[in-house]
Amino acid sequence: MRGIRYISVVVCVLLTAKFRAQYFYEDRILLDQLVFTGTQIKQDYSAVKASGYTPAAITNFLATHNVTGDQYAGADLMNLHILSAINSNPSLDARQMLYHSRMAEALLANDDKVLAEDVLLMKMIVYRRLGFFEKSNAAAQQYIAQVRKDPLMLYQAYYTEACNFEQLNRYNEAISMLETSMPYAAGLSTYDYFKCTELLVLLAEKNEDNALALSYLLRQDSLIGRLGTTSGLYSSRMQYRQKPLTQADVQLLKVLSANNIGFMYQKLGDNNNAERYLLRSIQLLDDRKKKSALLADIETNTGLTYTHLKRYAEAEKHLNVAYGLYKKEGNKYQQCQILNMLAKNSFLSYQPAIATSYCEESLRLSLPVNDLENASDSYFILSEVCAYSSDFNKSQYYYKEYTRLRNLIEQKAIQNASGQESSAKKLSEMEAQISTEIDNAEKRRLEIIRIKLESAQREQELLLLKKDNELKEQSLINQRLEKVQAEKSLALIREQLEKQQLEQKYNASQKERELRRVENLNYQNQLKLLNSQKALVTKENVLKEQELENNRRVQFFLYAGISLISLFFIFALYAFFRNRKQTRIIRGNMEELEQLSSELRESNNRLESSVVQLNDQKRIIQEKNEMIIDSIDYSSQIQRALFMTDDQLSGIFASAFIINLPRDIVTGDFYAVKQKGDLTYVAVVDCTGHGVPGSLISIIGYQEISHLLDTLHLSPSGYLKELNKSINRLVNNNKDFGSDGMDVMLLEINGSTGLVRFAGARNYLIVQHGGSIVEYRGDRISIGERPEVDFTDRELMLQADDTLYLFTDGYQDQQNGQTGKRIGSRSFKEFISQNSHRPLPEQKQAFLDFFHTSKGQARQTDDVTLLAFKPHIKINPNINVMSENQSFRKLMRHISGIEKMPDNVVVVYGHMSQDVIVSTIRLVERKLVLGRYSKSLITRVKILSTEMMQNVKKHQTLNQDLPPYFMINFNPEGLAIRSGNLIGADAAESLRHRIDRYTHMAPENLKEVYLDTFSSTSLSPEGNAGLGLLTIIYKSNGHVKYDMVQLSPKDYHYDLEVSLRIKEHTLYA
Amino acid sequence: MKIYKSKATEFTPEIEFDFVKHRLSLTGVCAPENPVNFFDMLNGYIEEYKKDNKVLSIDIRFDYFNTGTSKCLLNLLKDLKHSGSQLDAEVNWYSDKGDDEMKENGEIFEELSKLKFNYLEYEE
Repeated sequence: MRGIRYISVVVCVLLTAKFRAQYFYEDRILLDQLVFTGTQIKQDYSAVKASGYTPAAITNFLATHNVTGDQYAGADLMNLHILSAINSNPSLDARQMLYHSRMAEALLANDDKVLAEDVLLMKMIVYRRLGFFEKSNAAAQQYIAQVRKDPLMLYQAYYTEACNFEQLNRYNEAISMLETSMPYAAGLSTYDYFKCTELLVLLAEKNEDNALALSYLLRQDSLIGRLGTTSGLYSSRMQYRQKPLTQADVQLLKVLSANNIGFMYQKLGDNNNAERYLLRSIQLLDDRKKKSALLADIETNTGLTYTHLKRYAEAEKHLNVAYGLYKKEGNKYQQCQILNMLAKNSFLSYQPAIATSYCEESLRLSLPVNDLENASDSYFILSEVCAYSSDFNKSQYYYKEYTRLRNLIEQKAIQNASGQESSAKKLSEMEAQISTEIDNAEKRRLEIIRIKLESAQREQELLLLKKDNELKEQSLINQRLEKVQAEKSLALIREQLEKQQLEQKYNASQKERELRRVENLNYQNQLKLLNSQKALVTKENVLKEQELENNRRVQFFLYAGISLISLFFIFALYAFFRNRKQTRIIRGNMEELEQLSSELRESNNRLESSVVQLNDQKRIIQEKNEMIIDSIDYSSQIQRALFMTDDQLSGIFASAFIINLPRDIVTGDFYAVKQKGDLTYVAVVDCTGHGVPGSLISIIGYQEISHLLDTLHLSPSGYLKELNKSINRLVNNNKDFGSDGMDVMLLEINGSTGLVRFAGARNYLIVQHGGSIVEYRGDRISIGERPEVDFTDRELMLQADDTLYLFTDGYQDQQNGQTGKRIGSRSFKEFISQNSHRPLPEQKQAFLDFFHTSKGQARQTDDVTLLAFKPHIKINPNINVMSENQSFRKLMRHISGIEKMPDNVVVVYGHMSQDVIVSTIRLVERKLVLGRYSKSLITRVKILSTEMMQNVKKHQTLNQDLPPYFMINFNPEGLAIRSGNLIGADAAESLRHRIDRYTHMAPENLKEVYLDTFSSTSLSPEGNAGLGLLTIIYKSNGHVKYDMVQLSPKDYHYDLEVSLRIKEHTLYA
Repeated sequence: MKIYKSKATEFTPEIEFDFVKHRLSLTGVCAPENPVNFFDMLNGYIEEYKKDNKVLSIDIRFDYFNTGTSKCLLNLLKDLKHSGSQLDAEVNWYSDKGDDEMKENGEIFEELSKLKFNYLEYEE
């Protein structure tokens, strides 16, 4: 039988707030969290929110934004599913609910914590509604663990968990949950606090801890006592439309609270307090004027209280009011209940008949609707009444009915329980099914998307491939076209080339023809020349014969004449004697004489005629002579054609003159100048003899030298050697008497380096260097003297303004007409020396004048040839010359020339340092060892090199334009070690003196000085400029050359070259 | 008692002056630009040596040398000669076999210093 009931304050409060929310508080929290991204959907959702999440609004929203289909994805889709899940009715559409919640869960991206909270909330709610309390709790716990420390959120989770526990009949855990959440509740709102305490009361009651329940009720009561009418009940966060509480609302709450407390006291067995509070509630109720739905409950409670208090009449009154209210509601169940209570009340007030009628009325309502509860209660009361009335049969009957109905109720309960169980099982099976379905669906969906994507990709790829192929094809076509074009153009080019070649061939053949023609001409000319030579020779022979003839004739006639004259005298004498003895004979002889005289006259005539003949012949001879001379003249012209003129020479050299004075029209001297690239060859040759024979040899010689220079690449000495061979072959082969030959001076001038190599066969060379003239001699043997001869090459370095003089001995050998004295070599050299500064044309005139003056009336002794020239020297553009100083430039030219020569052992340019010196010596040593030079030579080279390099190092300046240098190169005799550096003017002077002195000393003297200087103990601070120089000169046997070039008033450039002759490497000769 | 050892440099020779073995050896290149310092140091050693010793042999094995060295070395040798009463010194002059140049340089030193020279050859 139902007792005083606890009336929910929460529901009451909600009602008082005039708000009938279909949705629970917790829903609203979740719904507020949902955030949509799509513009339209976002807009629509905020409208839903504004409406207060009314069910209609949400359903509408979900209809518009369909969760199925492909419109939405990601968070939006998930939110839609969440919404759908919340919106589903658990009893009607569990499957839907599950489906949506699983979908939402599946759509959750792994790393989104915020959305994960939403999902957890949803799960919490959904599972609870579906009855999966444990799962709900699991979600709640996860939620609590994850959620930010938001009291509202946390409180929701705790509250939900408590509810879940309640459902699971785990009251203790529920109570502890709620007690944990109490502070949050209190902090949030009054409503939440009420909610919390109310549930606690219920839980406590269920847990049969009535005292705890009472304590919470009392707490509630005190809170209600403090409620003012101005406060709101709800948390401002929830944004309910809140009206302030009315006085009536507060009164009602008080009534309810008193009622509940009284109810609890009764349970605790404290009837007094129970009565007190219950009456209080009635009292408070009486103050109310309004009627409310709760009134029925309150009236019922009041009635029951009065029943307890044995104030049966008041009880009946209130119960009837309650009945009336329930009747109005149409709440048959409650009506039955009240009737039963009335029956009980009546029974207790000893009115069994009224009690029976009430029961019967109640049965009349309950049995038709199968209200087993109330019916059973009714039967129980009836059985009691009958027992009291001693109607035991009826009482037993009613008790049986009561028991029967009770059994039925239990059965139902069991059924329900099992039904519940099965339905729970079903639900979980359903859930599993749905999960897999969803998973599969999701997988399928994803699969479809993937396939779509893949196919799209493949399409793309295919397209690309297609395009690619097209491109390739296109390019192939292009290539083919190009190829065809290229071939065409190739063909064209080939044609053109062929054409060109043909042309060229034609041109070439033309040229060849030309050449051949010219050659022919040449050949013909040569033939002509030879012929004329032959003619000349024959003429000569004839002339000789004629001469001889003439001579004989002259002699004959002379003798004839003399003999005639003597005969004449003899005859005269004879005649005289004859006359004296025989005058008679005279007369007789007179006749004879007359005869004779006539004979004489005859012979005279004959003589005359022969004289005339002779004269004739003389004339003929003269004529012939003239002819001969003419032809010789002509030959000389021919000869001269071979020889260059002043102008021609001046074209080759900077300036030049040639004095060529043949003794007899044609000359036995010749000179030749030939250019081969950088090299200029100059030869001056004196052939034996003069006149015609000499000229012949000279021509042969000229040809031969030209030929050698053209075809061979030899040194001057090499050329001379070859010339010697060929001259011997050509000229001296068929000789009855003597040998012919020639004296030669052959120069090889290197225009770019200024180096002159020369070889001489008897002839010598004079070079004017600056103010002095130097004589350079060759070998003492002539060409043609011996079959095999080796000549020597010598060298000299040209300076810019040098003049070279090549000559035959004709000039010097010229005798004076009166004194018979020769010009001689000394005065010749003197003359050169005096005039060498003059420009060459002037010099030429001077030489000619001098010659003619010296000659006087005398006949020219020999052929005279004098070739003087100033050669062109190219200046090496690589040398950066600091000053305009000619001599310096020449020096640098030489250096660069040597540098270029492949016979360098080492060349060091630039700042000399310890390291450089050391490494240079090592390098030199290595090279010389490889070259298999003797150890002595190597040591000497090392000593000299150290000395020279250390000297350079001492004197070097920071002048970058003029780096010091040190080099070693091979020369014909052996090695040349050379160093160059700047020195001061005074040092230059003294150095010059000393070098000159030492180099001109005899070796024994040099050694003495060397040893003396060596052993003297004085040691100048600069080191041993004294001993150093001596050592160098001594150890090179005096083969030291130097150059001092003044660069400025204070600075000289000092170049030192030390020659080590390999043959002389044995020391101290 | 003492050994002075000094490593060779680019231009100075290795010095090993063994007071116990009565031997001073100079080996390597001797071409310092300022030889005075180098030979001063040597002279210092010799002075110290002279205090307690009577005999000294000097091994000279030069790769090459400059004239500065020649002078200083000659002076050193002459000094040794002049102190003949205190110290009896002789020189072992080394040259590579076949290197007459180096040998004859030694002969000059001998001639001018009047010390006893022994000519030894090594094969390199």
